[in-house]
Parts: sequence; C-alpha cells; structure tokens
Amino acid sequence: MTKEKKQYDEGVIIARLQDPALQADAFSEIVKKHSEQIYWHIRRMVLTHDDANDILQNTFIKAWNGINNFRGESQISTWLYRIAINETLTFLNHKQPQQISLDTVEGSIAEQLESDIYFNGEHADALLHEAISTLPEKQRIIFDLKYFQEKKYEEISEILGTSIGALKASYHIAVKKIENYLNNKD
Amino acid sequence: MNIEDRKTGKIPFSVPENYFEDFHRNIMLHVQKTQPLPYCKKSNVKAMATPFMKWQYAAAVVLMFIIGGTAYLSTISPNSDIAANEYSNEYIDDMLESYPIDDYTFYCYLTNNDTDF
Repeated sequence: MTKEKKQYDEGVIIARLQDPALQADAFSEIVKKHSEQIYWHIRRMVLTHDDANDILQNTFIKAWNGINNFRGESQISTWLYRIAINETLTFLNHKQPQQISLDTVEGSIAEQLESDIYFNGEHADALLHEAISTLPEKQRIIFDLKYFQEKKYEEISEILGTSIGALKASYHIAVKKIENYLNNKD
Repeated sequence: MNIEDRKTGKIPFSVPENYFEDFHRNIMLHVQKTQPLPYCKKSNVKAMATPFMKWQYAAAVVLMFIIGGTAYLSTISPNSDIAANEYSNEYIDDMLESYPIDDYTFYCYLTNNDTDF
C-alpha cells in the first residue's frame, strides 16, 4: 500500500490549529512546509549554519508557544517570517559588533564563507554575500526577501509592516550599494 | 554590473545530512512536551494604537496637568478662589479606570509575536 502524501491546505491547517486535539498535527505540517524556506532566509542573514539552526529553533518554539494567538488573520508564512525576522534581529543586535576596518571585514567574510564546510558556492557568491553583509540589517532583510525569495512587495509589506513605496526605495538603494561594492572589488 | 544578471537560483549554502528531517523531529519532541500559551485578547493592545485612543491619552495627560497645576497653584496662593479639593479624586479615578493596563495586558503584549515587528 502506498502512502498518500497529505496535501497542504492553509485553510484546513488554520482550522485544525483552533482545535486543541488537532493542534500538534497541524503544527507538524507547518514545520514541514515552512522550515526550509525560513531556514534559508535566516541563513543568508547570519551566514553560519549553527547560528541559523539556533534561530530557526527559537522561531518554531515561539511559534508553538504563541499558536493560540494566531487566528489566521495573516498567512502562516507571513506570521512565521515575522517571528523569524524578530529572532534574527535580536540575534544580530546581541552579537558583538566587530570594530574593525571595512577592508578587513570585506576580506574576512568572503574568506570565512569559503572556508565553511557548509558553503558550496563560488567565489562570486561569497563576494555577493560579503557585499550584502555591508547593508544595514533591515535593508538586508528587504533585499533577501525581494532578490533571493522573489516575494512581491505587497507580501514584504505585510511581513515588515512597511509601506510599499519605502520598500521599493530601500531595495533600490540596496541594489545600488551592492553593485558599487562589487564594482569596486573588480 | 547588474546583480539581476548574476541570479543563478542556486543556494550556495548547504546543511548537514537529513538536517530538516531531524529538525522537524526535534521540534515535534518539544511540542509533545510543552503546551502552547493561552489565547490573549488582542483588542486591548490594538485599541491602544488607534488614533482615537492616542487623542484620548493626550487629552487625559493635558487634563491631569491642568488639575495638577491648579492644585499646585492653589497651595502656593492661599488667597486663590480655586481650591485643590475642587477637583475630586473621582475625576482621576475615572480616568485611570478608563485605561486599564493590568498584568494580563502586559503579558499578552509581550507574548504576542504577531505584532512585534
């Protein structure tokens, strides 16, 4: 007998979340569906697997703790992204700021990435992430959601609570900064 | 250089083998051991943010300054017609009762991830 793969239906999942008897099963579906996408978002923000793993765990633990407060007013992914972004910003703010010169930072991030066993990109990828790391945190989040995840501005606006106009401006500035950075490296 | 041209769609990072399966298992172990927090009504928190409530707060603050200022002036000007006890404590009590912020509200606000960002 072949196992039928369960279809993920957001409406059904939200309805099951309201029933304490079905809540854990529904949450299990949510973890399966969203953990990978959210992991990659966090990973691009913090760059190392260990940090991304810690933040992802905190994200889903907080999501479970607050599951009764999720009433389906937004999409599940939007709600999870909000938690993940809060957790990531908290992590980045608590991280010791590196008071070293820009050249040192530029060199060190690409080198660190290329020496990481869980980095299998090319040098150009390492340089791109190095350039992204020079952006302010919230601009990095916007850039990631738009450039890598190709989310619509409307969705990013819902996640971040920022106007679409401000998001477009921020993304445009981020792209220019990254392009200038990479041009200077060539 | 145009970074749109550099898009490959490939993720340059990797994870340990079976990471997402293990992650799912670990999270579900946590879920089985813990109960989620009870539902918190959001109405109190959201109402505080509405423009109407902001005006009410502003009016309350101004009113409190007027009452406090009048009471203060009456203490330093004994001949003034305005006595400090002209404004009974009922006014202040009424105002405070209009804006109940108890421990439960704070708990809900602090545990409400939906509105954190």
